[in-house]
Amino acid sequence: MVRHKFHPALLGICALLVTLPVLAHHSFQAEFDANKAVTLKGTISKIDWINPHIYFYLDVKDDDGKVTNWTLESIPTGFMHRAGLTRDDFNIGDNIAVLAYRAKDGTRAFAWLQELTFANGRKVAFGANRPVARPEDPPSK
Amino acid sequence: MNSRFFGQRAAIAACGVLCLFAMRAGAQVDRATVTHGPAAAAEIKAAAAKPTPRASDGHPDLTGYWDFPQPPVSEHTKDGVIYATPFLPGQNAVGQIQGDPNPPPYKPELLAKVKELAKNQTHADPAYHCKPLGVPRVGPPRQVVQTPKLIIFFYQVDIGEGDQSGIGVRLIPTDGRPHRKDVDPMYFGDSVGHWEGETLVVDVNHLTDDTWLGISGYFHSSALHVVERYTRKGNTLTYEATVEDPQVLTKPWIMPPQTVRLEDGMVVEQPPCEERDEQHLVNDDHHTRDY
Repeated sequence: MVRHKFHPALLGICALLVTLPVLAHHSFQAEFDANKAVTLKGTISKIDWINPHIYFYLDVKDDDGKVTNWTLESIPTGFMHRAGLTRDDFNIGDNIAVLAYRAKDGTRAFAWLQELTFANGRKVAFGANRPVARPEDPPSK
Repeated sequence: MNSRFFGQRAAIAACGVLCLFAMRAGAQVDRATVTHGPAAAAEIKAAAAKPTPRASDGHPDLTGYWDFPQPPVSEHTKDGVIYATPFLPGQNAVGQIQGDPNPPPYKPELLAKVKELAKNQTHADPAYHCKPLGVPRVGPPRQVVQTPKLIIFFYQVDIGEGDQSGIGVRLIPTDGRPHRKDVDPMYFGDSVGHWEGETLVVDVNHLTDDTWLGISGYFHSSALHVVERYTRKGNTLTYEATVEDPQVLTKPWIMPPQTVRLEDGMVVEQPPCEERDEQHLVNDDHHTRDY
C-alpha cells in the first residue's frame, strides 16, 4: 500500500467525496417534505426509544376538541446522546410545541420532528441543515 | 439557485479535482479524517504522539475505550438552542456521497450488480434493515479488554445504520489455536489473532454473506476472508483490513484505514433496532448526511 502525506486541508476537502461511514439511515428528502411544515402543540403520549430512529407520539387537539395522535420521527439515540440528551429528558405527559415536516407519501399525522420546545422554553433542533420556517400550517382535520 | 447553493457546487467541483489528484498518488484517506475533518486529524496526531502503553507480555496494550474524535457538545448549544445533531448549523457536508476513490475491485461482470444495489441501497442493504454491519464494515471496536491469551472487542453501533441492539462482542484468542470448524457463518465470523511486532493481526473466516463491505452496494459472497490489523500508536488505534473474496473480487481489497482515539468512556447497551421507514420512502435517495 502506497501512502503519501498530504496537507490536512486537502484531506478534509477530499473527505467530502469519499465513501463515508454510515452516518445516516435514509435521505430526508426520500421521506419528508421540507416544504410541508406543520406546527403542533400537544402532549407526548408515547416514546419509542429505538434505533435507527426515535419516535415521539403526540396528542394534538384541534379547535373542535378532536384529538389526533401524531407520529414524529426523530434522530438515532446515539446522536441524541452526543447532544447531551437522554431518554430521561423526555416524559410522557410533557406539553410541547414542535415544528415538523410531513411525510411525502401522504401518511396522515406522520412527520419528521425538526424542532421541539418544552413548556419551560427549552428548545431542541433536530437536523440543523434545513431551513427553520414557521409557516402557519395547521394540522389537517 | 442561490449563491450558497452555487458555492457548494463549486466546492464539490474543486474537491473532485483535488481528490482525483490524491487518487492518482495512491492516497489512502483515513476515515477519522473523512468523518470529522482536519480538526480530527490534528487531534489524532496529538494523541499518537503519546507513549504507547504495554501489557505485561510486552505487546502494546489495546485495552481502552476508542472512538472517532467528535465535535464538542458545547458547540451544539449556540443561541440557547440545543442542536441534537453531530453536525453544526451551517456546516453540514454535501448530501449525496459519490466517487469512492477506493472501491473494491469487483469482477467486471459484477459491476452492474454493484451499481444497481447501490441505487437500491435502502431496500437491499442488510444494515439498512438493522442487520449487523459485520466484519469488516463495522470498523474498529469501541472498547477493548486485552488479556495475554484472549482479547475481547466490544462494539457500540449507534450511527443510524447497522445499529446493533445491546452490545456487540467479539472474542479474539491469541494462544495459537486454529479457526473453529463447529460454527455457522456469522456477522463477526470466527477470529484468531497473533502479534506481528507492534500489530495485532486477526484472521477472520466463517463470515455470512448477509453483510456488505460498504454502503455503495459492496456485496460479497460467503467465501469472504478478512485479515485485520490493529496497531496502537500512543493513544490512537488504527484499523486496517484486507478483504479477499475470489468469488466476486479480482484481487484483495485494502479498506481505507480508520484511526480512533483513546477516550475516557465505556460502551453502553443500545436499544432495539427496528426499521420503519422503507414503507414510506418515495424514491431511492440514500445515505445523505441529513438523516
